Amino acid sequence: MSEQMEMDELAYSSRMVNWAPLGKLIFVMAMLIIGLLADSLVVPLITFAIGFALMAYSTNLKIPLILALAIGEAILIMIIGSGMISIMGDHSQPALWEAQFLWFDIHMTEQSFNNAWQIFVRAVAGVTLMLSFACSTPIPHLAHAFRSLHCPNEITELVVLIYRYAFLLLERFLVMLDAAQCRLGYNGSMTAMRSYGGAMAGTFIFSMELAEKSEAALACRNYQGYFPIYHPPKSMSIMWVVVSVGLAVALYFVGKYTEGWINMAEIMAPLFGW
Amino acid sequence: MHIMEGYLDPMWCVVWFVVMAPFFIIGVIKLRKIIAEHPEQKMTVALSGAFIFLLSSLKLPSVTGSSSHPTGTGIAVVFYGVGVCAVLSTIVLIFQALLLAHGGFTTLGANCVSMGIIGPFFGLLVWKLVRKAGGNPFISMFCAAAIADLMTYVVTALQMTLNVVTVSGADFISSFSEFISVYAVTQVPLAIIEGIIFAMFAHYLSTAKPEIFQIADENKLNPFSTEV
Repeated sequence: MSEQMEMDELAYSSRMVNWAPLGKLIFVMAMLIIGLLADSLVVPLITFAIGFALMAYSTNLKIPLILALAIGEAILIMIIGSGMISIMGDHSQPALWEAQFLWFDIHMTEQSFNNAWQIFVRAVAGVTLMLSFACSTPIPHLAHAFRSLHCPNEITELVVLIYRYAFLLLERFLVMLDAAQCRLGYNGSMTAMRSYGGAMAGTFIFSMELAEKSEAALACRNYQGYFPIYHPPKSMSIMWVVVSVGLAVALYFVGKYTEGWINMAEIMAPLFGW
Repeated sequence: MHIMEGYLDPMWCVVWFVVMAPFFIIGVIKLRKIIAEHPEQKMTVALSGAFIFLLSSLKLPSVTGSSSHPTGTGIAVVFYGVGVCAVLSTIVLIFQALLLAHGGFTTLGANCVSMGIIGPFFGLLVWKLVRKAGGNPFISMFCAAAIADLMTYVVTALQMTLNVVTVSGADFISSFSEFISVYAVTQVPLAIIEGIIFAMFAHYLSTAKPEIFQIADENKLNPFSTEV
């Protein structure tokens, strides 16, 4: 099954598929923003728990392999990024660790270390929240929600087309890379580069052909710039706004109350000998 | 290059959204005009967006806390201008944040400014200059794609530096030089490769669809021009 089909199937089979797409979006945005505004580590940990619970409820944690790999890579980037923040501390503050590595001036302070943890937890919480939305909202439902917000039709249409074509191009690109491998196309760095270049150029030519074919195919189906939905999702009720804003306000006060409760520099001190 | 969710201070999230907004709005107006006047361009516009998605998903982790990858905005900006490129990049960035955990919602403004606005603006500027100097589509596209890619990373490094300076009180010059030097290791070769690949596309298009370069050459450098 293709990645796009897997993603669509995951979204359509989600327990949250009938929830209002706009409501889910507002909820996710409220959680992301409050996680960003809070100075306490407790708030992003709570938003992470909410995101993870929603993701588990929505999909039973059945994530397509290609997405799982992408998320794994994103988490690796987050670890590296947080590490980078932790070593770029204020030089006027006492250092937990100070060193010189190549051209890097490492100056880790308690503040930069805690800040790095805060950002890491926020980022992971963001991934779970955004995925809980993506895994429960088919793209036609999202487009329908945009239309209900009076978003220009051309943009809504582009959202759907880009989503469809992106996966088609990705599949074609992967097929070309597999074909290159069958021809020993990765035997040496120059050959590998040529194979990648060839696959990209091939995908581009394919995309031009696809554009012409799609235009004709859609015209044959009397396409007027709108993809109809026969089972439209629920409209957003005021309860979504109340719950999202209410929870965000509650988390804001939780953040104020718990500020400084978790000091990662202190927790990690025995491990690193600070 | 996509800055991850939660990385930027709330103040910077707002600042970059404010910078992005006028370009996005003008892009939507321009896009509607293009589709109304040339409905046959709709699929090509969508495929340009899909191509940005494909190329910018091929990421390598970078020590900066971001990633290195081709941006794929060269073709879109040369053919449709900065405004449309900003809209396409925004749609792509939303999909990447949702589906691939690449970038984020609160960092969308910053990512769009670097990948969809300033980087492509310099790409288009170089395209115009090289074309005016008599460069053929192959050379012009190579320069435009490579510069759009490199400038995207310069802007991202600047965004990350400003964030680190305000949040952790780090030194501006040393932080910027650290970010930009780390990016340079992976991004300079990637920009050259992206330039070569896009030059190959331009070469193909110059034989298969030469009329498309006429549209590209008539494109305005000013992002706020609504002329198509």
